[in-house]
Amino acid sequence: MSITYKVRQLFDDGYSFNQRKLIESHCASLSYFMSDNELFNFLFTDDAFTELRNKIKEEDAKLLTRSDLYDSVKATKQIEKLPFYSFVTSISKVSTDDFSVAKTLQLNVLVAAYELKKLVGYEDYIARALDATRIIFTTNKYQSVLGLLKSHETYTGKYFIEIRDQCNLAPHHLTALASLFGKYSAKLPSINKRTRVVQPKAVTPDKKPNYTNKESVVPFEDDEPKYTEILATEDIVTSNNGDHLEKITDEKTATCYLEFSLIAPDEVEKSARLQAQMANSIAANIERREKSLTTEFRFLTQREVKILVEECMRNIDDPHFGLLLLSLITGRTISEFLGNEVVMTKAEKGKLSDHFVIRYKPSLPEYEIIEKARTLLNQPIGEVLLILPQCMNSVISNIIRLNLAIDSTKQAISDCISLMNKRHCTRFTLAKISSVMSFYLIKAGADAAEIALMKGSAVEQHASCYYYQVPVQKLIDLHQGFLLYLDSNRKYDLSDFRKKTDLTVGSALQLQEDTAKKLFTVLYKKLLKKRQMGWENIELLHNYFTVYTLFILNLSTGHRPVKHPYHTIDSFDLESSTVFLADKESRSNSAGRVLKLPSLAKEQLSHYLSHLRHIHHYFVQLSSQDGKYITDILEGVLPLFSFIQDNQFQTITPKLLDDFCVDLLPIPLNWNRHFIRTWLRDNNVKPGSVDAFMGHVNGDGDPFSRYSGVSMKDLDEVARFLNQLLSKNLEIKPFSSVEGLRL
Amino acid sequence: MKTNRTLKNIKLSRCNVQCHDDAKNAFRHSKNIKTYADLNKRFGASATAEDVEFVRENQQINPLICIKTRAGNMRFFSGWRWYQYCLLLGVDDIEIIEFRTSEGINFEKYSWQYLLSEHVFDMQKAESLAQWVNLIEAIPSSLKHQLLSSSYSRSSQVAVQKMTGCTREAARWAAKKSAESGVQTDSVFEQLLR
Repeated sequence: MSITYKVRQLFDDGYSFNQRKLIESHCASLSYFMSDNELFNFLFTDDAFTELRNKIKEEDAKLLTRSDLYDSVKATKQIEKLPFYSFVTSISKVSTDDFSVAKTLQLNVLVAAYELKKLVGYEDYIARALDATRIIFTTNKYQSVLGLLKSHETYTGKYFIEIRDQCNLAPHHLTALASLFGKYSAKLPSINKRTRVVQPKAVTPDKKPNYTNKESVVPFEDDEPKYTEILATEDIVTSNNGDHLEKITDEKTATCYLEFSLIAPDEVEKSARLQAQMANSIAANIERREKSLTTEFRFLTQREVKILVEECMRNIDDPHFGLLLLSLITGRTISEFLGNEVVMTKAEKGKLSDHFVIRYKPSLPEYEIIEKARTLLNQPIGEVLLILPQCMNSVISNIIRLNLAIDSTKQAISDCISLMNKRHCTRFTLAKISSVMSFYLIKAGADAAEIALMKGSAVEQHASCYYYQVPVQKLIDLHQGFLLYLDSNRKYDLSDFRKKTDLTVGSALQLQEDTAKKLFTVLYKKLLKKRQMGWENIELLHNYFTVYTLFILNLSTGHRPVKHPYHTIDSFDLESSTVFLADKESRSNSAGRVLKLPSLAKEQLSHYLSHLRHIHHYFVQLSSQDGKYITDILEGVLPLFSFIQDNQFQTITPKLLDDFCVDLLPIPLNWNRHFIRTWLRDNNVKPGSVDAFMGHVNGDGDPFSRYSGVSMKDLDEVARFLNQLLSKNLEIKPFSSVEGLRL
Repeated sequence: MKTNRTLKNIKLSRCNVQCHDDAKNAFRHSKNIKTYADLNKRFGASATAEDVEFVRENQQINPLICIKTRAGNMRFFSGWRWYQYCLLLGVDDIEIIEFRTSEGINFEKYSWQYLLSEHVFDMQKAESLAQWVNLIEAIPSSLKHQLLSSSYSRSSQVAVQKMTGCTREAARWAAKKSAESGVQTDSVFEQLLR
């Protein structure tokens, strides 16, 4: 690249031919007058100065001394229009004594500007430095600044700031020069300007761009150090790839910062540093979420809880303290008690006759099921019971009898709290007191459904409540555990209920485990029989086989009954035993989830695929259309599961499956979700994993969102549990049609 | 009839060959007949190059009998035994006898006739009588007289007795066994309720 081209490339257009030629001559002259030791530690990348020296003629160098050039620019008021030209020609105004220093300064400004010009975002620095140099050269009172400069000094930002502090002259202009050299002298920048070629090329939704690290699209000169930067393959950031870019940036922040810190000027470093800080803050946020279980700021400390219980028990005859204690041990607010939204009753006889109890029947959906089929289900028989300690019997009776006014009582209770806070340096509030139970329950491993049922609030808003049939005893045990936590020294005997109950509450669509086991046994026998009956019964065999496989997969994944369940074969990855489910039709594919498959389900799916290949051989001889249909299923073009009815393949829909199940199990098709949700919790699988598995949003947010703490390992554990359910509890055997059906 | 057919070699990859609608019942029934030799196993995943050659040569001397419906479209109604193994082993060149017109051809009769002739000798001994009973019951009554000829009887047991020379008791037992396999069982739901 010639120096002429470089200079042309350097600064703005708008010069006439003569002016440009003049500028080139000036640049050449500057370099001609310079000796090597007058240049500080920079290097033009291609020996431009050597090249210039060889070409320059002596007479051209004299141009530098022509003062009329600058005068004419000034007279025609073109300084603003031609800043670089003015900068170059302004040296003629410098006195002879300072000419040598001025040359050095001008050349170094030129070089710094030349290098920074290659980067985006330094235009203002360059313009200000050129102006500053010109003004220093052309203003008499500022020329004394040149006397302070040394010809052989390495110019840095710091150097010019020191000069500014020494002379108190032209501070703005020296600051401008300091900024320019500050940016430049950090190190010789070697980043090429990003020149993106905008191509109107749309990214197709199904084709995700590849964001792996790749070499920059900007060509490097041979002798320039190369570096790797992250660029999307597709040049345009669209709504389709925006998320992915963001994700990649998120993941790569630390690396970028490392790379930039070695080579980039301050501004770039600062930007990268900010990104790194943001990444750290996100990481800290994740950590805080994880820790929120125990360190949530609304959670009272153990000391505070102890003080509260002691204060309440000391004043237990006072209804205000009684209400505070009730709020603490039931997780209800004072307003709920005063507004009679919480009913406390005491039975006259029976197991609960010694205690006041809060009874609560959650309003969950009833299902329209034929009477015969109801006998196969476990119906919820009971209600949520929150058993209050016996020591509170008298105060509860008082509260009920007194029927306290809401406003005045709340005021009185607030006064009590203020007093306690003053006395004990605590931070009690009504909200904090009623939240203690929830936080304890989360810590104790209770899931969102159990907490919602115990608190009795917004059960309908928790999807998990619909699918979970909870033993009331489990809720009682959790509550008694909480009371024991409040009274850890057993001073007040708050946890005083020891009796057992078999009641259950929650989902009304719980298939009995024995029935589920029998269902698979009967289906298996039916399949064996159909297989024996041979090809004449292939349609029935195929339909039962499909249902058998679907039921096993549904129990392994909690798939919702939707059109085209599991979509195509491409939803499965049998290598890694994973499946992608997008069964929330109303929420699009973004609501999908990836789950691990239990090994038994994987084996059954393999049998199903072999079955399809096997019957393909048969059907292709009968009809090429049917043969193609099966080929398309196996190639992932058509939905994976289908029935054969009246010699035609029909993809599965809820209606079709429902009709088929009339003679099989005439209950709502999502019975599998109720069954496994309850089974997993009965077997103490972690609440977060269960919610992730079911595709439910819990208190911590969407299980597969960016900040979710749920990982594939958790789902692996769920898959192992489910494999145990399928193979041991339900004794399901994988079925293969190939062994019995001869071609 | 001799002038109405041609021996041809076709490539399966270029033709659409499938069962003739009138021959589908016989074809389906043929799939359920258990023979002594389980060629399914032999020509399964572990088939060798020799097996492929064996199948190809056998198919060439036992061609598929087809009628051409339109260019590149064949409907077979007889001679499918070796054809199916060609499909299984990926043999692309097969031999066919192509009928030019369907005039005067009873495809259904040919298909059942093929089945009767094919399986006279090689049914599994243990189940052959029951399979014979099934086969004779499956033949459409309009064709029975023609196909069974001197062995014809309204009763499938008697027909089997005449054809195979078995005792009356054996034929009766076979018929009973055959009937048992077709008995409808309770639905899954009924069984769950028990």
